Amino acid sequence: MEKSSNKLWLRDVNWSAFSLLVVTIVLCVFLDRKFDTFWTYQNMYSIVQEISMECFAIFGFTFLMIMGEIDLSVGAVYAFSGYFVAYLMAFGMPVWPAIVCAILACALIGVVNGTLVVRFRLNSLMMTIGMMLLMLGLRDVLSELMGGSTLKSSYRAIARVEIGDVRVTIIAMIAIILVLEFLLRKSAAFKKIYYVGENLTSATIYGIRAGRIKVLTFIASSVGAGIGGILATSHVSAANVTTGDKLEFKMVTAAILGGCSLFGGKGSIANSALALLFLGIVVDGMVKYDVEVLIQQLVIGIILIIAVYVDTLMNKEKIEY
Amino acid sequence: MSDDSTFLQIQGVSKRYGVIQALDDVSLDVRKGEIHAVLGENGAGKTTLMRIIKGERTPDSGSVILDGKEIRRFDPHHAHSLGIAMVHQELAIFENMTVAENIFPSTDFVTCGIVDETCMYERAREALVSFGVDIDPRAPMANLTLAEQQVAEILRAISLEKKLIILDEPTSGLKSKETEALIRNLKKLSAQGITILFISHRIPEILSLCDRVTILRDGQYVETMDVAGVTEDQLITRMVGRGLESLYAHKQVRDIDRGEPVLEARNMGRRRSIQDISLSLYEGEILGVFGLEGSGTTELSKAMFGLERLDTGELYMRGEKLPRITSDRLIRKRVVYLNDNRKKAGLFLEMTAADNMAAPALRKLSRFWTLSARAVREYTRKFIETFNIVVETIRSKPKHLSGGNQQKLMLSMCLGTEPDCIIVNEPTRGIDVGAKAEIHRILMELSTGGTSIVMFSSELPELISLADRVLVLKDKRLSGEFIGRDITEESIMAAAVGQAA
Repeated sequence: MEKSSNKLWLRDVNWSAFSLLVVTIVLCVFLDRKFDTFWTYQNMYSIVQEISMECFAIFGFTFLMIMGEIDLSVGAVYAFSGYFVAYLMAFGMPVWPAIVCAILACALIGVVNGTLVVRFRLNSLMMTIGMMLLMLGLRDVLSELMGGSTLKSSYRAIARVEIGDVRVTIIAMIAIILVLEFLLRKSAAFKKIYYVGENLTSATIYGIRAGRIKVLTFIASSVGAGIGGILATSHVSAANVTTGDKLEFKMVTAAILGGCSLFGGKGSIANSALALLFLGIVVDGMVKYDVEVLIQQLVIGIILIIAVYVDTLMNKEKIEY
Repeated sequence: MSDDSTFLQIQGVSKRYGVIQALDDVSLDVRKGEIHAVLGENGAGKTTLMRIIKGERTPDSGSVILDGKEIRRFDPHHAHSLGIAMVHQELAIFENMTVAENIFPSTDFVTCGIVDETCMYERAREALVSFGVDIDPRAPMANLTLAEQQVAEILRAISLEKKLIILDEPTSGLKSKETEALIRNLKKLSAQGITILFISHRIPEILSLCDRVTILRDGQYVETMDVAGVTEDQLITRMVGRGLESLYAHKQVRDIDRGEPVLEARNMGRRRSIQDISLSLYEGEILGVFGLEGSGTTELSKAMFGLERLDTGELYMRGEKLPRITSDRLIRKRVVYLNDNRKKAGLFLEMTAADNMAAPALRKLSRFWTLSARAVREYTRKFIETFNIVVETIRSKPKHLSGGNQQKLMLSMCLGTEPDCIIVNEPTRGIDVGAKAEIHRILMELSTGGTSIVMFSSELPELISLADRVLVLKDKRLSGEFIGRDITEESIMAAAVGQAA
């Protein structure tokens, strides 16, 4: 017995994505008014190129947040993978095998994260903080062993490959966003991610193998972060400790701004990527205003707190259960 | 012991949740010191009305007048300070604190910021004794059974100086002895001039306890009657707007071919919950499983569907042993499970009805790994029509539906996969009589069509009117099996409490 109603399309609008889009546009218009250099191809290109590498880490991260889990080791994996490639190459390994090895190492990290969270019911927040510390330690060991030597040119060339004047990282980012967003909306397999996030037990009752999906997603998260880190390191001349620094917090901020919820069940790839772009523009705007780096950190912190507050407000009912 | 002065006045209260009109211009008067029952099917608006009185929800229009003063601030703390207490349907307890701390959670017995523990434990002990329960006030709350926790929660509401006490289905988890004690205590309170609002599905309780009863139907006020001289049938007729005849179909003894079982469980055991249980289910049979609380029925149902791990035991499908008991394997073998607590699991409350329906049937509804929106829509509509589920559109969320409709949606989700065998768990818990009858009819039709059903239920009338065979659990073990005419309330109860050999 379905009753008809005309106003329902209003409910289907994704308000968090919509408001983020509006805020981003308003911010762009504002910065364009203030600075001639803002709305130029060059400036936009550099913002997009900057996030194109970090964006690799947000895909798996978003999937995990939809399932109500979190992976705070992304920043450390991002930092580690570049070092690992450089380290292997220092032993004479050619660039592509070194990259494959690094990605496999990252996959292994994902397997460990996922297995411990799923099989032994460890809290993913604490588990991945542990993994973060562990990976940062490993990165420091590698850094010690290499002693600041510059990267081989064959490695440095990778992030600089261009297709028709556009960096390949940007093209890959856009392609992946489109493909994953399509899959998330249409494919039956990706739909399961939402079911698991909304209610784990219900999903299990209806035959969805939640544990397997979670382990796979943890692997996707680590591998994504690893690829991003490999590209980001390739982009600079020597592996250094600022790569991936505090990236996990940027990921949480972007994912929540993009409509993910700490309570699971919500989120989308395109919106997380949009939120990452928004953060990139905010940082760019602050640089143009000569805001000190310390204050920039403060602003990002405030944005995260506001985003979490809005998330809590919107999920009030779910908390009351 | 009621005097005629009006204590609580509800005037034209309306409340809307989205597009569901939970309350529509409801007015009623409650007299000082009376025990006033509120009766209605699930989704009739009883709980919403109580929550407004307790200040947990703000009405869209209308007013609530307490003791001559209109309540303008709808806030639970404010209501608390006005002397209103409420026991919710769902327990709100502090598991890691003692029973006494649960009974007196606020700032009682405090001098200079220090809690007088001796006094608190003494008062708690008195309260528990008056209830006729043997619970140590110093015991941690988590060690109590569900029924005992409920007693503690009721004591919390009635122990303090209160003027109005609201009880939302307080007896649903209580045994008859505890229910009697509750009724005794409530009568004592009402004699002291305390007003009590009492929500219950159990009409006999209302008849024995209450002074007056107000009936709500579909969010609207129907009638307030004096309980004296009213019969159960009269109340049900007003509640559902129809007679009782169709409620319990007479069960006839059916011929079941008990040759090869469809589903067979052997020696299922799990430390502290079930011991060495074996059962067989045959084609087209409804097998009832009954047990009192703590007997292991819930654990057995979960274990049979792989939701709880077993220490020992095997499951056979048509003679073939399952290598491991997991829910996804069972679903592929066409076994489905209806969960007992639909709020906790079984539904995706925040997703659309269509998404809910699609969850168990993803493979069936997709082509080339992509979910076909049209197929999902048609599939959902088909079930909404067949099972008479009242939803606004297929995009409405289950959290906005009434209990009966949620239950029917959940059952549709299970049936969508065209199962051979269904494990149902409390299929009609907390839903109204109308929906109950419908679900019973659906289950009967399924079994006639050859589907085998294991029905875990704590409602004897349900088991007696539906089951072809009933197994009884006592103390984690099988204690009885009854077929056909041997299934009676007396025989089942005797096996469950252990009077039978």
